[in-house]
Order: sequence, then C-alpha cells, then structure tokens
Amino acid sequence: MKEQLKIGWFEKNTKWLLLLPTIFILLALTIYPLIYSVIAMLHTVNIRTGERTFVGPGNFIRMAKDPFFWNALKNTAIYTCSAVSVEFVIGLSLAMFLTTKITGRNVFRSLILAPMMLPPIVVALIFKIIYIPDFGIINWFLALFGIKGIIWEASADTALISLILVDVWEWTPFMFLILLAGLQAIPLDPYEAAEVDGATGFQIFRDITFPMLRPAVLIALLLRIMDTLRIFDQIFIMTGGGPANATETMSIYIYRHGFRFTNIGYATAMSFIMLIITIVISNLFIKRLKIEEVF
Amino acid sequence: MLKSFFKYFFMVIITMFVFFPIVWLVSTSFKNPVDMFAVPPIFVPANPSFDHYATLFFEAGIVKYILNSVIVAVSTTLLSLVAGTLAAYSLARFRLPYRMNERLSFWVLSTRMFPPIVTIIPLFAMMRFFHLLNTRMGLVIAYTAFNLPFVVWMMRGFFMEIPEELEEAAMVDGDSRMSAFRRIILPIAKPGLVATSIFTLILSWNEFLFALILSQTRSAATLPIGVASTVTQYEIKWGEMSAAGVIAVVRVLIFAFVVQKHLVRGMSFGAIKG
Amino acid sequence: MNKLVKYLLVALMLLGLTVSVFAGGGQEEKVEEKGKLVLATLNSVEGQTTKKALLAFAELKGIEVEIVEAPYSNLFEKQVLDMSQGTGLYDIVLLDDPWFTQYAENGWLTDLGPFFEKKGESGLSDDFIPTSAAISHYPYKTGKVYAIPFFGNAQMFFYRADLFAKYGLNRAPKTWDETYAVMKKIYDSEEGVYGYVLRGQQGNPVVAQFMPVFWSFGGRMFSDDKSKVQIDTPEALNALNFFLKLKDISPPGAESFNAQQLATHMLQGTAATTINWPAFVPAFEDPKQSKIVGKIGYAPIPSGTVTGSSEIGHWIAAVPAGSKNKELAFDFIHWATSAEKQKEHAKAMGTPPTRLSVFTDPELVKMDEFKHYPILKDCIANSTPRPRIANWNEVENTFGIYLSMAVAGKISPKEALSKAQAEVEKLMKKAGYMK
Repeated sequence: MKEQLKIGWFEKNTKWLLLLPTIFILLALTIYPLIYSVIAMLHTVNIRTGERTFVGPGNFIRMAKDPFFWNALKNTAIYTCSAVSVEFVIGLSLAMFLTTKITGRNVFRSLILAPMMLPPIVVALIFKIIYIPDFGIINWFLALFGIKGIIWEASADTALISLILVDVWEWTPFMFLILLAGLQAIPLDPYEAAEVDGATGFQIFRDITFPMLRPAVLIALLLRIMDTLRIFDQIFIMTGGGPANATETMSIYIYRHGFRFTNIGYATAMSFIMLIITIVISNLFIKRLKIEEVF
Repeated sequence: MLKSFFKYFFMVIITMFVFFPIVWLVSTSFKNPVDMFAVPPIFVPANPSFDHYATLFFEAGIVKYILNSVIVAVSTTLLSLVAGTLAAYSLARFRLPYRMNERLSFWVLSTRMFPPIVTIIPLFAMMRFFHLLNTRMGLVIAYTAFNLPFVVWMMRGFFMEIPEELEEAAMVDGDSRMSAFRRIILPIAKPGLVATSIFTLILSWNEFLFALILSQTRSAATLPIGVASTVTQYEIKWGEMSAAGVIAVVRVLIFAFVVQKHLVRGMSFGAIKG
Repeated sequence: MNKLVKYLLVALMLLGLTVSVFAGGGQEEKVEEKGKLVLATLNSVEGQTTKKALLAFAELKGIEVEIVEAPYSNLFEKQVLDMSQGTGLYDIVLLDDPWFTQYAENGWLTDLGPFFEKKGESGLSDDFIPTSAAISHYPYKTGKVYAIPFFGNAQMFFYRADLFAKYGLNRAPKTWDETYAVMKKIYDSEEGVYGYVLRGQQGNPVVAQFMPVFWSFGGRMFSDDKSKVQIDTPEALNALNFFLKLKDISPPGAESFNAQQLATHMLQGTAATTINWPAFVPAFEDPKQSKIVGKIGYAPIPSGTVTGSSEIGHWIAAVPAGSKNKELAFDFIHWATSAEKQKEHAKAMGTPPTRLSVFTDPELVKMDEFKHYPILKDCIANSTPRPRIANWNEVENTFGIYLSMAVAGKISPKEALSKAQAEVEKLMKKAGYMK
C-alpha cells in the first residue's frame, strides 16, 4: 500500500524529477552571480583601503566618459562583425561545395574540422610562432612573392586583422559543420521540380536552398556571434590588448579592471552591459527563428 | 574529368591551409634551438630533438596538468550528459503546465548567453565560500553549468525527432515510461549522445578563463594553464611551448577523428531541423 | 514500474559522489597542516631561483612546500585575488616592487619587524643597498619593513662597445646627445644593425622603458605629495620626442616588443644599444646563445638635461597577512636573501643580488659574467622607483596606452601627453590622492 503510494508520487512527478538536476545547477550558477553583480555594480571599492561605498549609477556614468570602454566596445564590434561574416561566407561556400558528389569528400570533411577542436590557447601560440616578423614562416613565404615587412599582431595597424584571421582559421569549420548539417537536411524533391522547370543554379540557390537553410544560418550566426562577443583566450595570449589598445576587447578590458585594477564594481557594471548586448542580439535572432525551430 | 581535377586541387589547397599551422606546431616542437628560426625554414628537422618533451615531463610536471584535464573533462561530460539528457527528455515529451516547456527551454538556452567574464567574479566568491577553489570539483561544477544548456538544447532536438509512437507501442507492451526511454529511445538517440558528448568534452578540455581564475595552485590546474605558463617574462620558450601545445592537441584530435562521422550526422539530426 | 526513475536518481547521486571523490582529490589539505609553505612566484629565472631555494630550505627544515609559478601577465592577479579575498593560501609571495604600495596600504602584508627582533636584528641589514631597502618599507624608506629585497634588478644601458669604438666613441656614453649621434651613425652605415631597440609593448613594458628617458629630461610623473600630475609638461614632451627618435632607429614591430625581443636583437647582433634588465647579462656573455660575447658594454642611463637615473625593478619577497606559517615563511626569505645564498644564486642562476657585499665579492667580480656588477651596483644606488601609489597598475596601464599610441604613430606626442594627463588625473582623484 505504502509502496504503491510512493510509486504514484514518482510517476506523477517524473517530469519534474528529470528536470530537477539541470534546474538546480543552472539556478545555483546564474542566480547568485546575477544578484552579486547587481549589488557590486552599484558600489565602488577603494583601492587603498578596500572600503566599499555605494555609488548608485556612478559606475555607468564613469563608463560613458571612459574612452577605453568605448574603444573596447568598438574593437569587439569590429572583431565580431568581420570574423563572423568572413567565416559565414567561407563556411557556406565550403558546405555547398561538399554536398556535391565527389569521392573522398567524407575524409576531407573530417579533416577540415580539425581547427575547431584545438584549445584556443594552443591556436594562439601556433599563430604567435607563425607571425614572428623576422624569422616567422609566413613572412618567409610571403617574401617569396615579394611581399615584405608585414608585422602582423605586432603593429597597431594590423593587429586586429591578424587576430581576426586567427579566429577565421579556427572557427570557419564550425560554421561549415552547422551549414553542412543544414544542407543535408533539405529534402531533394524541390530540386528535382526546379530542374524540371529549368531553373538556373542561382535561382535554385535563391529560391530553394537559402530559404530552407535559414534556420541553420541563423543558428550558426547566433552561436558564432555569442562566442566572438566574449573572445578572450587568443587575445590574452597573443597581444594582451595592445599595441596602442588596438586589440582590447570587452572581455579583456573587463578582466583588466576586475582582476588587475581590482575595480570589481566597475568590472561588473561593464559585464552587465555586455550581458545586455548579448541578450539583445541573441533575441533578434531567436525571434526570427521562432522558438519551434530551435527546439 | 577536368572539373573533378579542379575539385581535388581545391580540396588539397584547403586541407593544406587547415593543416599547415598544426604541422608547423608539431615540427617546431621537435626542433633544436638553432633550427627554430632558420632561413629558409626547416620543415622536418634533420635530427629531431625530444628535449622539449623531456623538459615538460620531467621538470615542468605536465603530467599533473594532463591528469587534471582528463578528470575534469570526463567528469564534466558525464555529469552534464546525464543531467541534461534527462531534462531534455522531460522537455521534449511531457506537457508541463504554464507553457513551461517553451519557457524553461528558453531560460536554459539564455544561460548560455552569459559571457564567462560576466560570471567569473561572483563565481570566484562563491567557490571560495564553498571551499571549492583549487579543486577539480569546482571546475567540474562550473563547466557543467556552461555545458548544460548546450546538452539540453541538442538532446531535446533529438528526442523530438523520434516519433512518440515508438514509446507508446513499448508502453502498450508493458514497459514503463522510463524503461521505454531506456530500451527504445536512448539507442535511437545514440548518434546525438555521441555528438553532444564530443562537444562537451572538447569544450571542457579547452576552457581557459575559468581554469585561470579558479585554480590558484597546481592542484586543479588544467592543460591550457600549463600551456600558457610556458610564456615567461624574459623569453618565450618556443620549443616547450609548441611541445605543450602538441600534447594538448593530440588527445582531442585522435578522439575527434575516431568519432567524426557522428558529428555531421549528429548535428543534422538534432540541432537543426529545417 | 518506476524502478528506472529510481535507478536513474540513484545513479545520478552515485555519479555525483564519484565525481566529488575524484574531483575532490585536488582539494588543498594545506590549511590545517603545520609546516607547509606555499610560494607564489614568477615562472622566469627569478622564479626558478626562488623555487630551488625553497626546495633546499624544505630539505633543511624537513617541511613540505608547494610552488605556484605564474607568468608575469597574471602573477599579480593571482596574488591579489588570494590576499584581497582572504583565501590565505600563499605563505610567501615574490612581487614586483611597484605592486608593493598597494599590497602594504591594503594591509595584505605582514609587518616583518617583530620577526627581525626575534632574531636580534633591528630590521633590514645595512648590507642591502639603501635604495633596495627603501622600496621594502611602507611608507617609502621611512615606514615599517614589509618585504626583503630578493633580486636587484635595475635598468642598465647596454651598448655594443666594438661598434661605438668603430664610430668614434671609445668610452661608455655619458649623454643622450653623444650617444644618439653614434647610434644614428650605426643605424645609417652598419648593414643589418639597428641603432637602438625599443621596448614598446603596451602596459608595463613601454612605461618601464620610457621612465628613465623621462627622468633624464628632468620630468617627474607626480609632484612629491602626489597632489599634482605632471605628465603634460615641457619636460615630458622633450622626453617623448626623444623617445620617438629612439623608436625611429629601432627594428620594425618595436611597438609590441617586450624584454625578450630586445634580448633577441642584442644576442643576434642586430641592434647596437638598448635599455634593459640585468637578467640578460648571462645570456649576452654565453657563447652558445650570443653572437656578441665580450663586445658589449654596460653603462648607467645617459643624461639628457639632468643626470640619468635607472628605474628600479626589484623582485622582493613578502609574507601575506593571511599566511598561517608566518614565522617559517619569514625564516625562509631571511635565509634565502643572506649574502651567502645570494652569491650562490648569482653563480648558479645569474640572478642579480641586492647586498653590497655580494656586489663586491672578490670571487664574483673576477668572473666575466659578473663584470657588470660595479655598474649595476651604481645603477641601483642611483635608481629611481616608480611612483609609490596604490593604484600604480591602473595609472601605468593608462599612461602606457597613450605612450603606445604615440609610439605607434596613432596620435601626436602632445596629444598623447594631454590625454594621458586628463585620464591619470581622473584616476588620482578617484583614489583620493588629488582633490
């Protein structure tokens, strides 16, 4: 009798029990940080005494007047836009190329996924070695074609581009993977119909492939944008934000304030802005996706 | 004929572009200091040196880092896969009140939007409170939190692809809901489970920022920390640095190639449905 | 019928348990244990030296030790996190002297006075060079002693004596004018040799490189009572203009160079002069790494409008206030900075000492690799410390960004200085130094 009751309870609540661990872990690790951040960003800590005082919106006012903050925001925007769009174009072309029938494409597919598996730290070190201006391999190679004197991440003019190239190398495969999966999910019938109608390749792409690929495109862009907005590892190792602040992104700048200048309040205030930016951008995409398509 | 020649040519070029940096890393890790920056560059060192690896294993104690990385990555994957799969199943199959299916799913996904730098400061305070700093446990918990949304999201997609009739048929035959889940659904969702666990493993193996902040001693420091610490103030130890890089990469690459076919299939199965 | 749910829950708990057992393996057991020392140190040659010293000390005393080595780029963060959050993990910290004011002012360090008294000493020995001792006291020079100077870094002017002789200067250069004339000649006429190699990386490096030039043109970043910022001044402008002239004769990429690139260029013989730390001297005099053995001269910083002065950049050892083994930790740093040990370290690792008696040790001065000791000793004795302010890190970062922009040619020197002035003033107001 008792046993039966117990089973009944389990049965009734299976759906909640299954959800419990996930909800618990996520709550514990998001709610507390959120509360902490909200409190911290309204305070400032005196660097000389460690004393904490309430400043209200003070940290946000400071942000508005802080040229380095705007610079970090600008760099993050440039980095995100250029890296993601280049990755998208290359990734899409590769994915389309590899849906055409050709022997050995499976091997090739798995080969070009390699970069995204590597730890970003290692990728940063690889390119540090490759980019060395005087003795580096890439400058030796370019010199064969008469191109000389590029100093890559060491110059304020080329540093950001050099880092974007690293990102493109590492993450285009990811873009490719999702788009390829999306292409493979498209049924064949519309193509057959189009061929019967005598549509050109471009028309087929515009009218069939692209619309059907839309969810995959949106998801790929969304994930990559979320990741590039928070870019930290490569920059931390390769340039640390320099030269001339040319590669300082939001994450690097927040890290600097939070851990180096011990301005926890200011750092959390900036983190909060960053979180809002991420959520706003993500929502733009998710709205377009319609929730049923994601889940 | 010519067309497919061009295709292969193109594939070879792309592959070279992808692999050149990795090959260069491996080659650098076996070079003597004299060969390191030789002009013209040396691709295959004539007398390879194992010094850098020896230094890492016998002096720098890289074994400790490797061990930490393995334990953290495997534990994280197990934990987030079990918890996430259960939650995903519930979200995919049961009708929850108050439109909770959509709302919870959205909330779970939205935690993935938290950039790590946003949570790291409070997380440090929290870990200190629970005495989890410098423990692998602390890292496992943190990594599980940022892997869960991904697992839930992927696995939910998989489960929704699988027709509900399969379970219903099993339940008519006398199975309970959960034994139907175990007997029927899990085997079908295997490609998804594999793809998801690959991603989880890779993410937790590669993570840097949390490991940097949450481990102040070597007791829980993972491989990326070990790799980063080869950059010293007065010199960059190019040889040791690349050797450490190779060590960090080898495991991931082997693993990824063994299971790669599940990756494309898994992705097309779950996350994206047109 | 719902066995499986229960199985799953049990499995999950078991899993959680195994994870915690496994993962808990990394837990620090240190807290309760008596007689274990944890050292947070750098991962370069100074760090190696402290590591070896601590291991020797551990053997001597029969204690357990743990050594945490971190790159320069995040050693400071590690130490501050530990001390400010009260984790109390580290017993000994090796710190760069400009960090010292913040540590001491926040009460993160142990007053070493009582421990010296127990040993029957009144404080730091007179054997330490006075400028080295001064930076270990808070407030500067006059206050209590919170640290012991471990490694005597101060900048020196490195020059290729052979090339200077070739272009008509047969002695150590004294003023920037005469030095620059020779450097320019070398740059113009010597194939593949740059006149100077500038350390221009944003942040600590470029500021450390600029300071001695700044001082030699009579500049000071702050007034003595720190109530005025003196960055946008004629002296600073002169200094920055000259600094950019040095950049013009430096190898490309100088705006991202740190100490290691400077050393590489000197070792390869592709640069004629530089300002750098003495840590590189052993490499310069080592035929296995260096193409310039015996060709290099060491000199104090040349004079501009006033006498040149090196920047002091000591590594000093301190005991965090949260340490549970203060006495033992003090014993170690006291032991490891003795004259005998410093000499040992110099011979084994080439690290610079902080004691006069080691600088003048008859055995050492006879050796080739220590021929720079008399110069280095004078450089330290006449050195200038970076401003003793608690928010130096942030001030340095801000100033460094504008210097870096000027070096990269992004903005004019005048604009760099006036912007730096404005931003540094904000920081000084925020920290309460300025009204």
